[in-house]
Amino acid sequence: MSSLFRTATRPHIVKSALKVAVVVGTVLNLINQGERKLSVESIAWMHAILNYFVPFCVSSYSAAKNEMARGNNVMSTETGRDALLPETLFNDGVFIDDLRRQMVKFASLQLNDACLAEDAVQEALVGALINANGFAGRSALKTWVFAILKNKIADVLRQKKRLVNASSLLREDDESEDFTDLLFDQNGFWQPDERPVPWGNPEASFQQQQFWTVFEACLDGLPAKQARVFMMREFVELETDEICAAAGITVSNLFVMLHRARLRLQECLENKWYSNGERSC
Amino acid sequence: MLNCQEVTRLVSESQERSLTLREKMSLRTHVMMCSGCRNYEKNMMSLRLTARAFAKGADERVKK
Repeated sequence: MSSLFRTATRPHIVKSALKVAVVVGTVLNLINQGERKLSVESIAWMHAILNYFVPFCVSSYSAAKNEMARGNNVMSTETGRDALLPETLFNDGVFIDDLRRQMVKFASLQLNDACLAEDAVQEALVGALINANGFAGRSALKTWVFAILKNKIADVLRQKKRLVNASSLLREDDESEDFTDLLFDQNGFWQPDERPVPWGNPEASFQQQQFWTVFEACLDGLPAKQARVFMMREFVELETDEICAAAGITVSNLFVMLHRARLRLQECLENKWYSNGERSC
Repeated sequence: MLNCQEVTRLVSESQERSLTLREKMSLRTHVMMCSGCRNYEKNMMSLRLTARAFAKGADERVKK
């Protein structure tokens, strides 16, 4: 009940309720008391005020109800534990929901722990939404939430004292010509057995759980830095300059890393999924 | 004349910036003749679709 009241007293709801009240109240007053020709003494003041007050209450009550129902929807589709989206400053439940998922995917692949990832994202979202009034648009909000999330992830990693696990450290440095040598011959043409095959419509694979397991494994196989920028680009859908700023790299650096990540993913998905029986010739 | 390795780089960058006219022409010419790179180009679009679907929880919907 108190949260209903809190929702109802939000500025934008109060404002629209006031508008409704002024219009409806004035019309009601004209209907009820119009014939008294507005001579001040004869107006039934109590009625006049009620004519404004009732539409105000009805309007803000239903707006608040509506908004809370939407908030609940968002929460009921959460898969995470105690996913407590603040009854959102942003009315767009779908946008927030998607953003949350994108962030969780990013965080869980960084932290290797779904629960820690949920927590970090939750904190980042709450932190961002508290200060969210000033955001001009979705992409500004997204960048902001992501910046907070990145710090949360760094905190968690520091606390857990496992900054990078040994395997990703190894993978980090040996990314050189080795992998491209595997794919291309010395003239830069495809090695015969590495030439990409058509994947067909990927959406057919989306329905299969096994496909997502493979996809996750392929992401896991990327060198850590490549994985990070790839996820910033394709999961969080940040723009090039935002990623460069966040990762402290140059644009050409970023392009090289994305290119390598995509080559690896193409190779991995193809070997582990698309060429298994789907090859047409 | 581009080789396949350079073509895969251009395909990747075409998802990040708009290519110059010259780059586009050399890319198209190569892709016309090379089935491997043609597949690669299409697969990269699928990869983007896949990553975005994954990030938005497509995998969780299957598990339920």
